[in-house]
Amino acid sequence: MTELRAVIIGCGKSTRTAGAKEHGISHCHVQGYQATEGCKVTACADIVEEYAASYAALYGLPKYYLDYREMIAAEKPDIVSVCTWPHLHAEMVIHCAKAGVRAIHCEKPMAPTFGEARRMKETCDELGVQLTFNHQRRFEPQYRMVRELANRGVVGKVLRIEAACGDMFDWGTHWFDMVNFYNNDVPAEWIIGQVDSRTENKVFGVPIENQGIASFRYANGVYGFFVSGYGATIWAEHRILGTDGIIEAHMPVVKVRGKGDTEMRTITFPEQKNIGAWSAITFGIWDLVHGLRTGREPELSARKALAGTQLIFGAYESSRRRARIEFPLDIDDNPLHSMMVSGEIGPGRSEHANVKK
Amino acid sequence: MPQYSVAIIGTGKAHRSDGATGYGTAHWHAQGYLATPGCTLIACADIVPENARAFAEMYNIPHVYVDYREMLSKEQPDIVSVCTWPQLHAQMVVDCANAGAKAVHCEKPMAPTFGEARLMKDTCEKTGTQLTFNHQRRFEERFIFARDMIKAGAVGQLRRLEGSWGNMLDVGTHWIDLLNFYNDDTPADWVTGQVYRAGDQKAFGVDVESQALCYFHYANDVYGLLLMGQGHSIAAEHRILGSEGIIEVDWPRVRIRTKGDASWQVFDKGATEGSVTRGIQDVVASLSSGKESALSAKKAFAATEVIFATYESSRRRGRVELPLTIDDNPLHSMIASGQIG
Repeated sequence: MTELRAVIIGCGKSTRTAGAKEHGISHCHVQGYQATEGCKVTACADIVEEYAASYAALYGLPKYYLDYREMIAAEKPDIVSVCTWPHLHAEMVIHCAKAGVRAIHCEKPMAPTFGEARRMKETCDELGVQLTFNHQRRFEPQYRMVRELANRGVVGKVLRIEAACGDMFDWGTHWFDMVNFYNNDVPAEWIIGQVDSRTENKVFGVPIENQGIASFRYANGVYGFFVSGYGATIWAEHRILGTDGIIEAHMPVVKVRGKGDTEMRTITFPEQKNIGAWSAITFGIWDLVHGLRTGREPELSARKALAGTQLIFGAYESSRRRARIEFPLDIDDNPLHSMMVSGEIGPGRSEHANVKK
Repeated sequence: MPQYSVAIIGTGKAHRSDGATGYGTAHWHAQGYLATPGCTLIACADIVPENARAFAEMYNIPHVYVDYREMLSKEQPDIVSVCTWPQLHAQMVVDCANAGAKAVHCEKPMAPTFGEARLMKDTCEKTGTQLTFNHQRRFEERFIFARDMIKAGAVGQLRRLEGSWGNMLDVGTHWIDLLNFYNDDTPADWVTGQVYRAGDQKAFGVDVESQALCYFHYANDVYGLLLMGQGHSIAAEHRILGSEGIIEVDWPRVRIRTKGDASWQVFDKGATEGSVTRGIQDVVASLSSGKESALSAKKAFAATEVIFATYESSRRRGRVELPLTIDDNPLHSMIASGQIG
């Protein structure tokens, strides 16, 4: 087996170290590659030398860089993990693709705008680069059980798949992805939605809504329903409503009441970790490496990530256009941001500012 | 037993008669009063004299008018039914209240604008006129059965009330009214919604949306969800989700899956006949007793507020906190300004 050489962009601080803001996600990536046979991580890059140096030392990487472009040129890696914040993804992914890497594994959410998300996928498609996004929840066993039960007809015909979380963009990219996953990645046809943005709210530097709702329909007639933010709940993470029952995910618990069940049955899974050999992130990396070796589409392919991202920006676009949005989505911006910039929505607006008396 | 004189405004053509566009709803009203002890139909009015005359003949009504105002002043009816299209309701209801009617029973939807709906309610409160709206579905068997099952604890703790059908204004006024009915008329406190206008849809002459999404929250932490119009379906009329079970209302049946049920229990509850009459009997009983009618303007206004808050959520692009303070129809204002459609 030829050895595949991987590098990491964006080391960041380690999870839960002093001053660390986020999830130390690059640590999950490097451990994933190191747990995958035939992979070797040769270098890392971070604009903060201290982070790059300590990360390289921690994982025994031969070299570290401050400039990721220099790293790509010097290391000529097969695989690059992009672990930076969303506004940097497009530039980095496109640069790596053009520099000749074979596979890129990028963190989610894809990008702050739909145009950037689409361009990453199109560029990699054109250049034959395998692009994946770390929607690792597809590999968490409790969610795979949910899909398994649905696909086996335990709740009859699936009518609607629901999800709820804090926001549509950051957490929402996972949850839209999971709704697609439960529906076996059948394409969505349209979405109608609304967002509320009365106070400033940001994640990874990207402004997001305070509350969101969306109803969407898939080509197989299944409906999706999504709520986010304050006051919005479905009393579960996800719910599959069928003609003959209900399946709910409440990590790490799955509840099901199918045909013949007189009450909800509970299956409790072990708490899931994002890091280490038995994490969903490692499974995702194993899968994308296998995809690269065999030519098979990885579970975390950019095609699937873009389908979920289209639901996020479709919901925002529905708010802007005051309409149902038919797919494929043909915009380049982030409608939420554009509406904030133009003053159509956002903090500081009077509750009744545009109400004619 | 108190005796009440009754007049009807807007007789229209008979239901399903040649050229009839609506539901011949004045006929349901007349039959309702005829079946209610103590009520006497004394007059009717329609701008088309032959409609009024034919109606009067059919129900043995002694006096016929073309001008409803003339009818109000000459006949001084105790109860007036307003069976016209929505854009006429506010003027007529206010005229009835000011003419001294004891009770006005008006067709739904309340009005094309929220201001008109509020004006009717406020005026009648001031004049002491009992105002009701014909949300007669509160008297249909399947909905009463579902409400009774919720009250009996069939779904455990009530969590979400769902509805799906046509447009928000015409059908929606019934559907929201029924979700409120299921939830014991608890007030809603916010609405987030969206509407889509794909063509020139109208209901009774009023511009309506082609599709709508409406998510709202009640003060008792129950949620409402309406998935209305073109392309939307919940595979039932209503679905009631609770902590321990589900009820699906889908004429002519109600399906219930409560704790302990291995499969759906299916109940035939398709009877709808006489619901307008039962509504009128409730209206008349309330007029006698002074107790709030099941069809009170207060309840109709609560449903109407959710309709217009859904439109307002689309206009404002945000969640709308209730009470709603607007006067217009945001959908119509957006159509006029080119913001939608």
